[in-house]
Amino acid sequence: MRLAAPSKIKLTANLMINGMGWGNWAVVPDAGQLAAYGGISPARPPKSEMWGTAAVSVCDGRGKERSVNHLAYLDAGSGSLIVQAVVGGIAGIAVAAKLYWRRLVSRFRRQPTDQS
Amino acid sequence: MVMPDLGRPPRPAPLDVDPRPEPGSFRDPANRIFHAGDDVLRALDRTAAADWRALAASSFFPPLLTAGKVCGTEELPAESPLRELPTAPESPGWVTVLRHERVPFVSHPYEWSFAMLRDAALLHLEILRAALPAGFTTKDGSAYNLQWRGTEPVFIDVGSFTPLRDGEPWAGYRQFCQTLLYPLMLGAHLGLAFQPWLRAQVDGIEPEQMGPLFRGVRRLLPGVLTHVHLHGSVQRRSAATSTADVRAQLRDAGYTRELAVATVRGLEKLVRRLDHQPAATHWVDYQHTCGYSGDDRAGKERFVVAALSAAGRRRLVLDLGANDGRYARLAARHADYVVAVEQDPAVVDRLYRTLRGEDERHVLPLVMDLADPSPGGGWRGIERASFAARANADTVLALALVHHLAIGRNVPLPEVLTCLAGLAAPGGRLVVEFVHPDDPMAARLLANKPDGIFPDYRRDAFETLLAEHGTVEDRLELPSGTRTLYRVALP
Repeated sequence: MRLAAPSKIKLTANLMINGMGWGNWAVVPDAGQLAAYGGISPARPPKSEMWGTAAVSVCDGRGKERSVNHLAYLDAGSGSLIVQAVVGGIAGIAVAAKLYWRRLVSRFRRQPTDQS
Repeated sequence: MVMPDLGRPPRPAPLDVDPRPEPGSFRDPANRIFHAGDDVLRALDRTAAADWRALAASSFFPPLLTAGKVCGTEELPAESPLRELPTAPESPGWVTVLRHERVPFVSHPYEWSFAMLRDAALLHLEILRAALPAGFTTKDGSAYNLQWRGTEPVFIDVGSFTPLRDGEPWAGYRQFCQTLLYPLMLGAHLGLAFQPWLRAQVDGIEPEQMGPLFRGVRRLLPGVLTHVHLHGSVQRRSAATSTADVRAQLRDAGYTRELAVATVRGLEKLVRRLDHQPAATHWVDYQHTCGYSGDDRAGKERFVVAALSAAGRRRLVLDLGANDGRYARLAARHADYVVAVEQDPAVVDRLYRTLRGEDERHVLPLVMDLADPSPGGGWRGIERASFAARANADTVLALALVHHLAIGRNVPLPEVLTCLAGLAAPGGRLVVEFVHPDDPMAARLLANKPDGIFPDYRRDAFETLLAEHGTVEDRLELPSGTRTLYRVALP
């Protein structure tokens, strides 16, 4: 998915630069700054990680974040991504198990209502 | 940047030919390959240009270039006229243009032998393993990311490198499985030739196609349970979930860069285990059973050497029906690059392993049946160019080949010569051997065909056809008296 033009990016706190850590929110001022990571080199890893992909996560309005990676032209395949965790060894299996556990728990989690 | 000297001719004047987009370079809109004369150019948009600058300044990329594992690449200066490349309508335009080392002969994975595909896979994984700790990954994992300098694999898709987001698996894993890992499994686990599969499907073999081949105890073969069955199963179950959601969930569950590296290491270990030597066929010992006398061999070698050195150093020589590569090696002494084509995967695999052991960088062995050459493939049939479209040789060697096509495969003799001449560049040379009908090898082939089916398979008819295609500059009848060699100058 291509990154929207600057005027189309909703400049509110529901945008996040990936790599800053889940839950750390930052405002993206404009798309030009997103592209500014090009000047960095791996000799400066912290900034590289922060700006390194020009990818953002967008809140979809239902409290669910969606990653928008405009660099990925290829459909990696959802299952192919998960399997990689499993083939990564015991630690990876634990990650995959955690992913499925969270999916399972989220099914039974009570949905909040207006009254509550 | 490193631009290995492959003996290419002097570069033509800039833009003496309009830049032409490479038909196989369209999937990633961030960059595109163009050909301008002998130059191979890669145009980058703003994002890809930023990736390139970060890559060029990285710690892992320059050593890969220096070692020749990634194709030689340099950024064109801003004032270079080669930077004027066409853009698509409504495109913001190219920001930077790179010039790549020219691969001597572009080949496709379905023309490689088992050991070639395995070495290509290992190089792809080695490069990815070097990139990950430096904060980079590759956008894809296709076998088409790799080409050859002789028997040395080289990673050509510089535009594939992109900064890595921590906590994300490799986007190219599925492509790697489909175009590299699964074909290797077919060979190593089942003894099947992978070439027809890859030739039939440009995107490689799907997990669903692999599954039925690995039922029962075959599930326990290395890598099958996870990379084939689990992969296919999870893929089916996750079809409705977007990759963006899965990426977020994996990151949330604690997927790290170290896990990505561990996955690549695991893949490397698996690919190393998938060793396999295709079963020997009668073609493996053909040089010993084809009935040449010592005098025949010596005379033939002298003739071939004289033909190759007659018109100065050759740039590209095609050795068709190369068998054990005897004449391809000979040709490599008088040419910049030799492509040795042979239909038997077992023969090519042995030749590749031998040449690889010698670090031969001027002979590229390829698997291909000349009676069924590689067609154009992929989108519109031009994404992967046909063999005929790629072959533009200065000299075509067709030694002990014509009788196999004309008698063994029933190809009319005029068609055989038209095909051979068509693989040469204008003004090129054809060195061809005619095996007389009374030669023991030709007689053996004729014995399996009805009498009188090849009335024109005669020396005089062959020479008449040769004269229609060019000028016979030299000829030699071998001492056995049943084989004649010709050197033909083509118009």
